[in-house]
Amino acid sequence: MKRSVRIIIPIILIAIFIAVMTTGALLKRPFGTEDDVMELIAKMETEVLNNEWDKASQHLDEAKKAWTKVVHRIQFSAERGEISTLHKSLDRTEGFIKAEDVGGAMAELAEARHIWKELGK
Amino acid sequence: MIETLVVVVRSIIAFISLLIFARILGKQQISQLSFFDYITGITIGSIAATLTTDLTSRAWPHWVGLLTWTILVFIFQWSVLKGRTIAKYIDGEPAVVIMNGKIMEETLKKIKYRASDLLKLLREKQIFDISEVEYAVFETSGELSILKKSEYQPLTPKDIGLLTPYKGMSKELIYDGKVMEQNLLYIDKDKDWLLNQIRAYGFGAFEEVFLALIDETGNMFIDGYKDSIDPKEQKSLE
Repeated sequence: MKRSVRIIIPIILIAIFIAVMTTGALLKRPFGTEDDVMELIAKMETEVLNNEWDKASQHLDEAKKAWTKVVHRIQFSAERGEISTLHKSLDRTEGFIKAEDVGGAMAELAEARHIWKELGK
Repeated sequence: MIETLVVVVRSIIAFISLLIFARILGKQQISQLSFFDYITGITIGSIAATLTTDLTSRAWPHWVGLLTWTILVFIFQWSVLKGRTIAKYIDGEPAVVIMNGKIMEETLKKIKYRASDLLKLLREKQIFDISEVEYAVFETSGELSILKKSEYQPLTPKDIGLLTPYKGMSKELIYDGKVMEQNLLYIDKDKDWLLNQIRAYGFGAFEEVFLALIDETGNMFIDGYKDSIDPKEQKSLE
């Protein structure tokens, strides 16, 4: 094998590995309209404050689906804990929306926002 | 999150990274490793293992740790090569534990070895009588190098004035059924010649030969895939 090839192959491999491990912050961004988790959280916050519980519940389902899509992209560069905490936060929001608890729902959505911000950093 | 898939991907990253870093760090034998080299090797391996299975943290910090340790080891290796003082400080110095047939008790104490440890190392070198030893040096790798007294040295052809023919190194002419054409060219022979040689050993084609070697004096060693060993005898050896 040529010396240049022997050097280039490891460099390419290392570059791919670095990309896989560090692109979490980039890959969490929406690629379309159906995976924009942050926009759905923002919508839910407004709806919860306006007591529009049906709309909030519908957007929560969409947010969960969007989050599942994002997880597939960021799973190699994010912590399992972060992923799991955001899952739990959305699940708890569902409970608060059902109970029509504004304070609880807003607290959970604020936590979801924080986790999202830290995700893949 | 598919945990199995994440572990598989992380394993590939850790495995190939370790392979690349190990190649960068060189080909030191285990026996040549100092205690410090050994510890750094274990640490690097441990970081790679954590990178693979610790899904509670991201892979990136572990990989950076792996890279940093590799760079540090590389810098150490380089400075040890370049500076003798640094080499002495990092690797330590060989310690003479037996001099002129006498045990150096102070040196043994310094390197934290008991007399029983020394005797064990000597026994591992097939020396059961300490009076046979002229010098014993405890190397930085932990190995014991021994110089026996001249009367206990094995007899060599030179001692009795015997002339021996030059042996040199054997060259592979057939490896795993394939002809090593470059080596054939080197000894100025061709495939026809090689075919005649293997025919003399009872083989019909190159593919039947597992290994064929030739030494500097032209002697050949040929081993085929089908050995004429009784399978029962082979089984009893296993």
